[in-house]
Amino acid sequence: MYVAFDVEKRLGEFRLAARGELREGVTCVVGPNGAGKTTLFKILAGILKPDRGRVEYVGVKSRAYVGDLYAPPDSTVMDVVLAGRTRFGGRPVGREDIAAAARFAELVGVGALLQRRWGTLSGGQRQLAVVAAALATEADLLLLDEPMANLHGDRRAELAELLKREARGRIIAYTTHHLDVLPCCDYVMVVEDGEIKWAGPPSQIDPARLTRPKACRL
Amino acid sequence: MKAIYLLIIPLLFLELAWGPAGFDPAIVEAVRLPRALGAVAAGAALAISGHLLQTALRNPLADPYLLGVSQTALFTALLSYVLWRLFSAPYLGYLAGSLIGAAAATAVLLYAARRAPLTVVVLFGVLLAFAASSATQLLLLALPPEELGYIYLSLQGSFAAYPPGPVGYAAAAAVAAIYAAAWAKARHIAAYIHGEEAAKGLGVDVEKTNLLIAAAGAAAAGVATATVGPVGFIGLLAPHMAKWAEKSGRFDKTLHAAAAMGVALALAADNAIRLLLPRDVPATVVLSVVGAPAAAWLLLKYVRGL
Repeated sequence: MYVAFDVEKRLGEFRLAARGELREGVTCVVGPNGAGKTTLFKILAGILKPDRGRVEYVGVKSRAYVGDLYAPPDSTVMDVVLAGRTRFGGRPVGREDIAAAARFAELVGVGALLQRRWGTLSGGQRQLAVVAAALATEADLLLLDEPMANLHGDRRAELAELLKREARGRIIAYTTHHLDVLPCCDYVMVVEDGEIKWAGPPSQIDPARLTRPKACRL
Repeated sequence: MKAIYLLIIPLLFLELAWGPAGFDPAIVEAVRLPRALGAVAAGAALAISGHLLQTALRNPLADPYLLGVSQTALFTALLSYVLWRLFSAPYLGYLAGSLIGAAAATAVLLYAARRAPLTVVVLFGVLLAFAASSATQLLLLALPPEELGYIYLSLQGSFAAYPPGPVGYAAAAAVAAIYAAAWAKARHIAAYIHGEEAAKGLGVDVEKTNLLIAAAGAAAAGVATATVGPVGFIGLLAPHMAKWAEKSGRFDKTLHAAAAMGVALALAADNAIRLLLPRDVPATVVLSVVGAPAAAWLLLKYVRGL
């Protein structure tokens, strides 16, 4: 199972020209803001059409892209996690969808919050609920946009480990600015200026690629 | 489903069995049955249309009446009548005339929703409502005054205007078909609450589903307007009542409840008009007088609970 891509996309001044592949396991995609990580994910998910080039899906039967999920403040956490079951048909969600949603919510650690209203949650709690929704898609190719942006260090590490476990037999890729989770990835992809500058296992990454000059020093 | 939906049964019984003329099978069949069918069909249609618009536009204030879908439908229905009456244009029928207007208004709203922020879309719809209802008033000047009495009731929105016989049954069947179409894709429609792009990422075929939402939302509002005229409040409030009763904000989990609430509101309003008032008034009048304070009270309670 893998996804190979060689695509080009222009969005105003910005140009993405990315070539590479995603393999079974977890791929962490890192790079500065505006580098093209989200654009690449949307192309791989089929939300954006590339101007040129193609994406080849081998053994991938289902795919999902989950970024920040807006929800009205009166939605329950269960409502949002159930959004992950969208691809399983048009009819209203059934008992098995609710059971699956509860299972993934439990796994991510928001099982106790299922009846809570969205408007009463913290940013981190919402983020975990969105990750539960993403896992509830059970898609072969799961693309997560910044699933850890609002999480505290310990929760981030737990989630990175969970995603690694969940990625067995499928492809999970996520973008992140938190480099402390890179050891939990099977592959790292560095995106800069609309290009994939480096890809490989985290053990081989050149630390110079990841460190940035610090603006303030103590 | 909750026991509260069983409230429909006594309301329906009252609508059919009792009135100023007492119980007379001939009156039940000729007068009350079309009226009851109108409350059931139009009540459900308005609730479905409002629920679709609220989910697709991600705005809790969306409603076919507030956003001008009903008024545009009324305008085009009347326009098709005036063109036929005064210029012997081919008669489209009141129903076809309304459907054209409802479809055009819904298409404009959904088109705007793809380009402009959703608050702008709602303002846009409110402007549409003002423009269409004013245009309707001007159009009425084209008709001789003695014909206005007949048109008055359907202009104001009343379940008493529901057509008896085959046309009424066909309209009710159309509402049932729209309901079934929305139910069959309810889960995909539910994903729109997170935004169209998010829905796409979750596996919704948005091109197809946009068409379904536009067609079903317009057809539901169009049939309701064609048969009973523009009725407000039900499309706005029934979906919210359903969400409170079901403790869920999802379209798919609350579709049945919203339709049931729409029917209950319509029947309650019509019973109140028939049994408590000396003559027919527009349904929106009763719905607003009783419903607006009730809705405000519910809203306050609900906001505190958040």
